[in-house]
Amino acid sequence: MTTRKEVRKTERFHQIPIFSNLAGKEVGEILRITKEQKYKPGDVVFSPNDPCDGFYIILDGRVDIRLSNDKGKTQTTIATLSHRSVFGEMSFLGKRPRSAWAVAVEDTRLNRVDGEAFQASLDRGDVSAYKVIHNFAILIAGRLRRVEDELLDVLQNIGPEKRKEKLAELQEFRHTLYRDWSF
Amino acid sequence: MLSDTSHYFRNAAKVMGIGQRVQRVLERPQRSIKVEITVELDNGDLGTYTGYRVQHNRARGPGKGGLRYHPTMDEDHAIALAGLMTWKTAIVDIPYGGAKGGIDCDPRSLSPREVERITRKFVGEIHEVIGPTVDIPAPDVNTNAQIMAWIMNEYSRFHGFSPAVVTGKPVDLHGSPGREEATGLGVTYCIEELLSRQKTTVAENTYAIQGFGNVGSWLAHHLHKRGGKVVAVSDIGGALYRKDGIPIDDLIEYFTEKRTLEGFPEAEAIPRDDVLYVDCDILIPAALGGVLTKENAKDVKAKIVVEAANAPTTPEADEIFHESGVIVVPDVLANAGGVIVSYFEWVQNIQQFRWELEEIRSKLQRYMRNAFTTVWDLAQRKNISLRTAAYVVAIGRVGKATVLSGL
Repeated sequence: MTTRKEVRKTERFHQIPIFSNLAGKEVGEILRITKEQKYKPGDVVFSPNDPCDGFYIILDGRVDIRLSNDKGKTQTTIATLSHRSVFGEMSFLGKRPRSAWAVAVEDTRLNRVDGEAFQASLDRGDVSAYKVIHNFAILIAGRLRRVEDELLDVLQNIGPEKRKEKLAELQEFRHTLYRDWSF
Repeated sequence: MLSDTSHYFRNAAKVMGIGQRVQRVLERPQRSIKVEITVELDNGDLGTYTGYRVQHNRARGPGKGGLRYHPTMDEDHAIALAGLMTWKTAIVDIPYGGAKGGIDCDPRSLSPREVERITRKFVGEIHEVIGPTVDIPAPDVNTNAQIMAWIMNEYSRFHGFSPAVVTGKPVDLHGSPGREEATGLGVTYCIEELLSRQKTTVAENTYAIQGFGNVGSWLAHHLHKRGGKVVAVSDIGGALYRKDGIPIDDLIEYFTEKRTLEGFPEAEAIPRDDVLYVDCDILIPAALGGVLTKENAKDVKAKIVVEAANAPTTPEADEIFHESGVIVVPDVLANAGGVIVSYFEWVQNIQQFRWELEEIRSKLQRYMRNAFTTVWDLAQRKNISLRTAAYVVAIGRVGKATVLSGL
């Protein structure tokens, strides 16, 4: 028996991209393994090397994803996510500990999808879980494409092509000195 | 004048077809430092000054260039002037890069003891970035042999006996004979080289010299000694003219005593700036920058202009001279005698062996002759002005040193 409140909740969850093509019943299956958690500004959701406990969906508020290459002395925010966004899926899918910080930047409500329960659902062959995985694939493909575009930008400025051009200028200068302007 | 150097540099770079990146590599200074100098003044006040030292390019050797004490001194000045030294040392092929520096103080309002304290404090701040194999300062505007002696003494406290850390020292304290006359004599050698290519001699020509300071007076002396007729000279107070040549020995004697040209009985007084327009074969501005401009370039009657001063010709005037066939021997070549003898002083300090004046003169002549020949031949071969050719030679030498040592 589904309550009216649960129906409203299901409708809300349909607007979240990774649940967009799930049937109402399937959304219900996922919702059963989630837990709502509240955070204050500055609260850390997880830190690098924390074990993976699932993935998160933002209901309200905003969360910074931060990376660091010097043990946290300087952190760089690579994204600020707001409601309906998902994070923490990289470590879940890759079965690795967390690689980034997730920090609430304002009062934030999150739904955590429990990693073990979701894995169990996959192991049982639940269609709902596979639909979510499929949506993750789409999400990650889009993200990869953006990164490729950015990489192309970077390579065109400092990459092999540009490097060749710069070396050509230097070569040309050397030739100029010895061929055309010797004295 | 600050932008003139980079104007001529870019002109030459364009003629050579050098790309933007390489131009930037050659134009940017390698190191620039700024230090605060606080000293107690004689009246008990605290004086605070800022000192600068810029090493523009050290591809060809340690930095070389003057230290000037002037209230308008700042980093931009130092950078532009350090660049000029890079090109100048390359053109005359002495193994140095370019540097420049100074302090934004006005020595005329300071006692000698205050200047000494400021100088020593400055050396205390920069002694780690100067040195006989790193960067060798020299006298410039408002600095002299005494100040160089203090620098040598203060530097030696930190690093042991090091006369080669500065040049332009007093002859009695590891200075070189011939330093005083070096720039004027270098200009004379330069003129000799030019005239020999026109199948004539110093004695067969007439000269007008603007400025009768260290450079102008030594130049007049050496031209006169070779039979040249100096028909006009000027200083800040006025000018003198005599069609059959001013008796220079008498004039120097008179000037040494009176500190002015005014009232010299053996020549006619003329308006000060007419020195630029008198009838003569060779005009030599040996005082200030920017005296030959697009307004007065047409009034110059001389067929040859030799730049003994730094940047006396504006780029517009330079263009006018080029079009009307007036030969301009550029400052970077003509007045390099000073830095060449500075180099000799450094070599003597390193060798711990003093040369005779005659040896210094003959070596100075060799360096000026080689530099002039290189620039002249290139200008002829490529049909470019002596100035452009000089900058091409500079860029060529600095460029080769840069690519050979690996960028």
